[in-house]
Amino acid sequence: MGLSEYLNTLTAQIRCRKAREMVAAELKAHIEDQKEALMASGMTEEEAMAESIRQMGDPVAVGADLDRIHRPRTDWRFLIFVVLLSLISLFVQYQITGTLQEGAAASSFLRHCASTALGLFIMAAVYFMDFTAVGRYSLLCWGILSIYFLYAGLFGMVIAGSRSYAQLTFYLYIPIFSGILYRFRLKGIRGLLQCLTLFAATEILGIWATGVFNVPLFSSIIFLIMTAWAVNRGWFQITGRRTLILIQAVFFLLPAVWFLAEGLKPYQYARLLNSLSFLSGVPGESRSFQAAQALRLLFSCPLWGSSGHSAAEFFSSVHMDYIFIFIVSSYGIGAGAAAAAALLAASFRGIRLSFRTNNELGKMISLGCSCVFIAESVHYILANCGIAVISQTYMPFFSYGLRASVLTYSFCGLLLSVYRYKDVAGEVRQFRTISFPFQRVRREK
Amino acid sequence: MPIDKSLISGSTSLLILKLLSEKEMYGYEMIETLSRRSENVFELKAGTLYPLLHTLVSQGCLTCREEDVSGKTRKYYRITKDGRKLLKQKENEWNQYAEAVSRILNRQGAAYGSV
Repeated sequence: MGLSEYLNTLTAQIRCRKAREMVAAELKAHIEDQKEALMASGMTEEEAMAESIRQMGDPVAVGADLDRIHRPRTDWRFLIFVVLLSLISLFVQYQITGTLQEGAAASSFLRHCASTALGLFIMAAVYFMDFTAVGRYSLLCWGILSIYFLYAGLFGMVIAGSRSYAQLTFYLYIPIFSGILYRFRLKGIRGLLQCLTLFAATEILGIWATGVFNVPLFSSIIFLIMTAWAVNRGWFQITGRRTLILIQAVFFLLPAVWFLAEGLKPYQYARLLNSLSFLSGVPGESRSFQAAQALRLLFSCPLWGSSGHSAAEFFSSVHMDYIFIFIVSSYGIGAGAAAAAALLAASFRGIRLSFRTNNELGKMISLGCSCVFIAESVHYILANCGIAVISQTYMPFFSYGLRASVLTYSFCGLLLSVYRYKDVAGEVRQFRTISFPFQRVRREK
Repeated sequence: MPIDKSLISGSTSLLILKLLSEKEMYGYEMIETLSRRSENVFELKAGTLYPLLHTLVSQGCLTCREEDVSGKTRKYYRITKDGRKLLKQKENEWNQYAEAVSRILNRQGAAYGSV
């Protein structure tokens, strides 16, 4: 049996086609090493090849063993978790809309059902799509999303001075930029600078199109984390420390320069002071009206069960901006804590996945998506409690609306897809590990 | 001298983890090292090694990376934190087992000796 025949028979046992090439390459390298060693001990090339293949073992048995390992896997726990959280979210939205007027209640709850269903459909689609497509088509995806923002900026409806309704969609750039960083890796400092420039341009587009800073600000922090992580893993073949300090300096200095040049408008200054006033520890008066209301309501809540007041009495648009307060005031502080814990658990599962999977792109995508979930959950909950400088945008899984659903479920789909292909996707690190002065390096004995 | 296979098969992952706890290696290097250190007692088959390596990677005990060395792409494996934990546990199990076996063998030896 020749080498290629042997490898063909072996890989034919592996049902998952994506894994075949990776396995074949590794075994081929092994057989060749063995062959060279045998030839060095005096065998002819043919004898050495035949002997190496014989030593490898029965191709069908080995192939079957490998088939058991390299197959798509479903992260059932996360999937069940997502479905349960969606059902709870539907229940909460149903209760919230119960506080609205009759006609409005029915239609808005139905809408939420429809957007959740569409979200789940998108999740399934993304799940079955191989996530490495995000790497392959990252620039195409970037183009499509940018056209959307260009269109929104030119023709979108302006509501209360901004198009803040479009801002959530900006987070879709995070997985796309995972792909772009991945594409530009191995291109040295130039590749890194190209990524940074593209991201800066995207930021400007986002701020111009939506007219708000929240999501672009959080995105840039997350992008900074992702870039730091990529440099740290040697994606750009540069030693990290100085580069990282440089990138961070640029990121933090640019807004500072802008502030110095432009200055804050009076209302922005007032808002900043107002938001920071919780630091003074003086309750009530100095704080914004809504934050004070929120805190008063929170303090009157029992551990479990209703406080007797509904968040809907105090706030408008509870179904978007005060879901967390609604949960606490209707079902108790325990329920609020459980909801917060569930959101954080979902996010940290993603972070754990990024440590677990071997595929570099998969690591980056799950890191980025989980960071978005963490940032938004923490920020939303803090803002609901009246202790955040920037107002809340979105509570993953719970927020009302199509854009929120698309964001939540496409990210969940990506996380599930990374898990699905963790033993299959063949691209592993192809670069030397760079060690840093601040990293502990295990030395060879 | 190669010995009865069933004696080794249970402890292969222990041996591999132990090797990789010292430095990262590629598959062929592991087989060579094992065979050399055990003075040709352990002749591990590649067909056993690779499924085992891939299982350990899937469990998160090893990670791997590729590197081009003189025209060939080599896949290097490295032990992770979880892998070190598993190694420690397997080492303890093995030591207990080996002690128990030798205790029994020695006692019988002593009994025969005293007759």
